[in-house]
Amino acid sequence: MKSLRGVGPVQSVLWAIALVVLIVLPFTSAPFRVEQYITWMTIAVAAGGLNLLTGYNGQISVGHGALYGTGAYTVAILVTDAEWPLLPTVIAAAVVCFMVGVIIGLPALRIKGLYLALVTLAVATLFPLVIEQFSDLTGGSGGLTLTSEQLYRGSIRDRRVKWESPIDGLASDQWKYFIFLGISIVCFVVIAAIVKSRVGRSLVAIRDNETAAEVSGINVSRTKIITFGVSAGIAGIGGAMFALNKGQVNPTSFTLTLSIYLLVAVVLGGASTVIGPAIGAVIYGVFIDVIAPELPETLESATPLILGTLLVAQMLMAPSGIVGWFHDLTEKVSRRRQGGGKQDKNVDVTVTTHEVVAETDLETDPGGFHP
Amino acid sequence: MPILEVDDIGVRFGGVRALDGLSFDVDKGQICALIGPNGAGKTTLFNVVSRLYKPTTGTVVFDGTDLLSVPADQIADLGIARTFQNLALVQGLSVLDNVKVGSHARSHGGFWSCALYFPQRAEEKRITAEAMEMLERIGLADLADHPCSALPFGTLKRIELARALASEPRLLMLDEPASGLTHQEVDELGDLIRTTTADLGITVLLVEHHMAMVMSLSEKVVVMDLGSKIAEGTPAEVRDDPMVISAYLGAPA
Repeated sequence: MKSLRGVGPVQSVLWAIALVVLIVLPFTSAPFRVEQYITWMTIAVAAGGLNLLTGYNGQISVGHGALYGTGAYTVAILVTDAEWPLLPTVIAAAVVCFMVGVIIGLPALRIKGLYLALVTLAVATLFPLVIEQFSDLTGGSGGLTLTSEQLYRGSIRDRRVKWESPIDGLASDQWKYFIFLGISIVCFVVIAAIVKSRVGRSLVAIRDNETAAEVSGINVSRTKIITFGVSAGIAGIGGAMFALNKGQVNPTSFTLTLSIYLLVAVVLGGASTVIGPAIGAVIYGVFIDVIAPELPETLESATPLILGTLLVAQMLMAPSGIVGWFHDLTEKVSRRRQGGGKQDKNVDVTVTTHEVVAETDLETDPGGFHP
Repeated sequence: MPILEVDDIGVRFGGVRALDGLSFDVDKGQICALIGPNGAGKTTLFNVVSRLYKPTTGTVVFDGTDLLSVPADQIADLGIARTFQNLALVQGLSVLDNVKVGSHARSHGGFWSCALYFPQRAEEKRITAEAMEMLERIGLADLADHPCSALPFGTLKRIELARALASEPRLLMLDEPASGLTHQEVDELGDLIRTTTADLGITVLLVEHHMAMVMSLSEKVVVMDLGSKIAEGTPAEVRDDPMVISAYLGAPA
């Protein structure tokens, strides 16, 4: 059984392939594609953060697009107005979003499920309006272009944030790709560490059985609030990466659609699996950026319909997402392959079930006093 | 010397008096059984001690601490663990992880330390080893990595017991641990409870309908009916008490 949960041979091979693909990809793709890959990474990171909250902790948020946007605007303002160097703004975005997340999460102490979803939905809907309202700081509906006088001199055009590669033979988009890939990997390693830890267990305990969590000494309210904050912080890092990648932010980038995109990435890839949201984000990205533009023009308006149909199909065939489906598959295969010992145990378990059924059938007298 | 003092506890749900002036003590290291017909208020008392219900009257003192001033999630820190009649396990975690949830109260580390992994490594290793040991004691080591869903009820009951023991409690409250178990399993469970709690010096408060188990395990029996105590004493004393017999079988016509 132990091997089932550890990394099996199939998984190791898949991980190795994924790593090779991630390294080779920027060298075999056109620069505009590499930009798109980075966008998928930002979505993957934000979806990974959302997954902590919605997948592991069971708190549904339809508002993480707003937190992603908050991260993006934090970076844009810090770089352009406060003249911060680029990478520290990512950490600042995480901190700001953590605090915003804690505040948005406060209602979660009283409400959950659909009601919480509605509150976060309101946050997502209001975010672009709030940004437009504070146009002095945010540039309003025109958005903000990230410029840095400290880093780059010359005309406005020259002062735009860019990523110059310090390594010969590595183009700037490739350099940027690897920096952002590094940030993304760090985010997912942190998520994995949390999920496998004492805190991760308490997240799932709260999701599945609040009473069990409470009597085991887990502070349910505090954990829920901090999870909201941490999840928001990670979504903010995704947004920060978005701003640094595009070099500009605009309220139309952070609408409700983005929040739903994040949820779709989580569910499609596999909620409460570490890597699921990343896979979901990539699949969605491939569909929108690679497949959809290739479709014949007559089908263009039908793209949402195609996507919707695919999602329905996924919910029917693999409700636990792609990673969940894959786990079930490998478990089934290894169970069949191991045969002998495992088979015995299965038989054993079924026997006990029958006995229990028999036992409960017998003991039907409610008082049960047998002196 | 009493470790748990329940004094004049009353709980009302609307017009229903679930508990009505219930008082009793449990001595340190004792196995004390709480019995009574269904609806007597046994589980309600457990929920009061766990701070899941707020009593309208009375006090509960555990080892000198007024429990009613302690929030529910700190009860485990004080050394009180419990199981539930209808199970309270985390379906989404493996058997081993469920037991590890039990050691939450005596482990440390918040989001920061867990996110960095290394500060937690030694403790995580220790907790895992201890949880495995507990599963071995309870005879479920084979199922450690099995998901907690899709296991038979009797097995789940034992997992819950392991979860409760993993917190290294001083007071263990067991709510019908024998229900859904086969006769042989009941005997094994009785032995397990007796030896484990004696080894670790744990006080036990037991709610159970399986009278053979109650009579063989407990040193003290508190009999309840309709929210109040109707008798208290050794198993032999309680068995012959006319009040007890009438509560269970009805008064003679």
